[in-house]
Amino acid sequence: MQDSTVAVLGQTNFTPLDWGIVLVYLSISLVIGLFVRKYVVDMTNYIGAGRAIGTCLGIATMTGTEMGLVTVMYSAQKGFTGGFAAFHIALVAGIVTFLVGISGFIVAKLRDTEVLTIPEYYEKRFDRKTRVLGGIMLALGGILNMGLFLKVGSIFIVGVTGLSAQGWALPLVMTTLLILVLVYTTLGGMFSVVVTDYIQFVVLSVGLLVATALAIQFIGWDNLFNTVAAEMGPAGFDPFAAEGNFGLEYVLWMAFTAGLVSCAIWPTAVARALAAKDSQTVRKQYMFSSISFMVRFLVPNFLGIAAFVYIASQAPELKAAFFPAAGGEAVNNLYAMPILLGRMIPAGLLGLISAAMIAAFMSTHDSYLLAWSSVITQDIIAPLRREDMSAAARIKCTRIAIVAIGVYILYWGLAYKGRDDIWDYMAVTGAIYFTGSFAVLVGGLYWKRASSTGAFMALLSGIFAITGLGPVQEMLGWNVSGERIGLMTVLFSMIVMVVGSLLFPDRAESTQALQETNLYRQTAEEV
Amino acid sequence: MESWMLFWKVIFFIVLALFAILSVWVTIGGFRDLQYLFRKMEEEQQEAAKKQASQT
Repeated sequence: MQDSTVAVLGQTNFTPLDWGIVLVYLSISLVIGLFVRKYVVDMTNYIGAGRAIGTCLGIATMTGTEMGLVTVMYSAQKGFTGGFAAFHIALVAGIVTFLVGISGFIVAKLRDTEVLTIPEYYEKRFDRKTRVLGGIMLALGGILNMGLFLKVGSIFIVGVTGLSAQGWALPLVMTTLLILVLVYTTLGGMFSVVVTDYIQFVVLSVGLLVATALAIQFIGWDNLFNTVAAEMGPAGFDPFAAEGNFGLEYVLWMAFTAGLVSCAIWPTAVARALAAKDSQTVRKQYMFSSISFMVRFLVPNFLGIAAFVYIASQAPELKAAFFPAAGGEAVNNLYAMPILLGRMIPAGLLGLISAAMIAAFMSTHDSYLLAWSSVITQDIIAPLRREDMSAAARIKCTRIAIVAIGVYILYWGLAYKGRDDIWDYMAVTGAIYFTGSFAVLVGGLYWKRASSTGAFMALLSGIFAITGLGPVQEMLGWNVSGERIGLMTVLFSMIVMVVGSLLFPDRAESTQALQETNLYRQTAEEV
Repeated sequence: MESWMLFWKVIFFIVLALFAILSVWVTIGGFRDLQYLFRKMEEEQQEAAKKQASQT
C-alpha cells in the first residue's frame, strides 16, 4: 500500500480515552459472563435461559443478536454502493417480521411444540434421521455463514481506530475479540447471552441514534440526497430501476431472506421464540421487533450512504483511494463507514460508539456460537450416541464445540480469499440450510401428509444453493445471480417436499391408509 | 426520482422515531424482565441444591 494511502486511512479522532472506554465495556461483559455462570444447572438453562424471557427482554436480546456488527458492515456496504434504494431491504424486512408477529406464522406453532431447537422439532414431527440431517445442514450452513463475521467485525475496529493500513492489526484484533467472546459464552451459555444482549441493546440503540444525528449534522441533509442524485441518478433511490443494483427479483429475495428467514427460520432468531414464556409472548415480541428489524438495515444503510457522500463530495484524498483511476487498486469499501465514523465523531463519544459497535459484534457472536454448538450437541452427537448423555456431558460437549467453531472462524477469516460481496456470501451459505428448512418447517407444521422422506429430501436439496457462490459458479462456468439461484432453490425444495411426501408417505400414515383401504374393502364386501 | 426521494425521507424519520420510543420502552421493561429472570433462576438453583441434598 502506498504511503499516501496509509496516511489517509490513518486519520481518525480515536484517542487513548476511546480505547479506555472500549476496554471498560469489554471488561464489564466478561465479568457478567463469569457472574451468571452459577445459574447454569441444566441444558434448558444453558441454551434456553430457563424459558423465562419476557417480551421486552425478548425484543432486546433478539435485536442484540440480529443487529450484529456484520449486519451493520454489510448494510453500510449496500448503502455505499446502492444509495437510498438499499432502504428497501429494511422496509421489506420490517413488514415481513410484523406479519409473522401478527399471524404467528411458523414461530408461534413451533413454540407450542415445546422444543428447544429446530432439529429437535424435526425428530418430534418426522424421525431421528431427519433431525440428524437437519442438524448437519444447519451446522454446515450456519458455521460457513459466520465464517467471515470475525474478519468483517475486526475490519470495523481497525478502520475506526485508523489501523487499517497496518498488516498486524487485523489478526490481532480478530484473536483478541474471539478469545473474549469464547470465554463468556462457554461459561454462561444463553443466560449470559441474554444478560449481555440487554446491555448491548441499550448501548447500541443510543450509539446508532447518536451516529445518525451526527452524520446528518456533519454532511448536511440536503447534501446527502443531492450528491446521491448527482452520482447515482434514479438508481440511487428506485430499487426497481433497470440500471440499478437491485430489481424485482432482488426485492423478492430480500423479502424472503432479510424478512421471513431472518425472523422465522434462522435458528438464532427462532431460539428467542423458543425461549419465550409462551406463543402469545412470541407474537408480541415479533410485532415490536419488526421496528428494530427495520432499523438494523436502515441505519447502517444510511451510514454507508453518508460515507459515500462524504468521500464523493468532501474528501478528495479518500475518493482517490476508494475510486482510483483505471488500473489502480481500490481500498475495500467495507472500510468506508468506519473511516467516516473515525473522522466525524469527536474523541470520547467515538469510544462510546465503538463500544456500541463492538457490543453488536459480541452479541451476534455469542448467540451464533451457542446456536451452532448446541445444534452439534443436541441434534447430531446426542441422537447418534447409543447411551443417553447427561446434562453435564451435554454442556461440556457444547463448550468444546463453541471453542472449535471459534478456532474455525479465526482460520476462515484469515484464509478465505473469495471475492464475493459479504452479503452475497452470507445469503448463499445460509441458503444451504434455510431453503430446505423452510420447506420442512412449513410442511411439518401446516401439512398433515408431510412425510419424513419428503423432509429428508427437501433438506438435502438445499445444498444446490451453494452454486450461487462466485468460486463455484466460476468452476461450473455459470453466470446466474445469487438471488435467482436462491429463489429457485426455495421453489425446488418445496416441490421436493411435496413430491417426496406423496410418493413416500410415512409408515404410520401408510398403515392408516392401508387400514382405511381394508375397512373400505370390508365395508364394500359387507354391502 | 422525486417521489422515491420523498418516500425514503418519510420512511427514514418514521422508523427512527419508532425506534427511539421502542428503545426507551425496552430498556425499562427489559430491566424488569431481567429481575424476574434472576429471581426465577435463583429459585431453580435453590431447588436443584435441595434435590441434591435430599439424594445424598
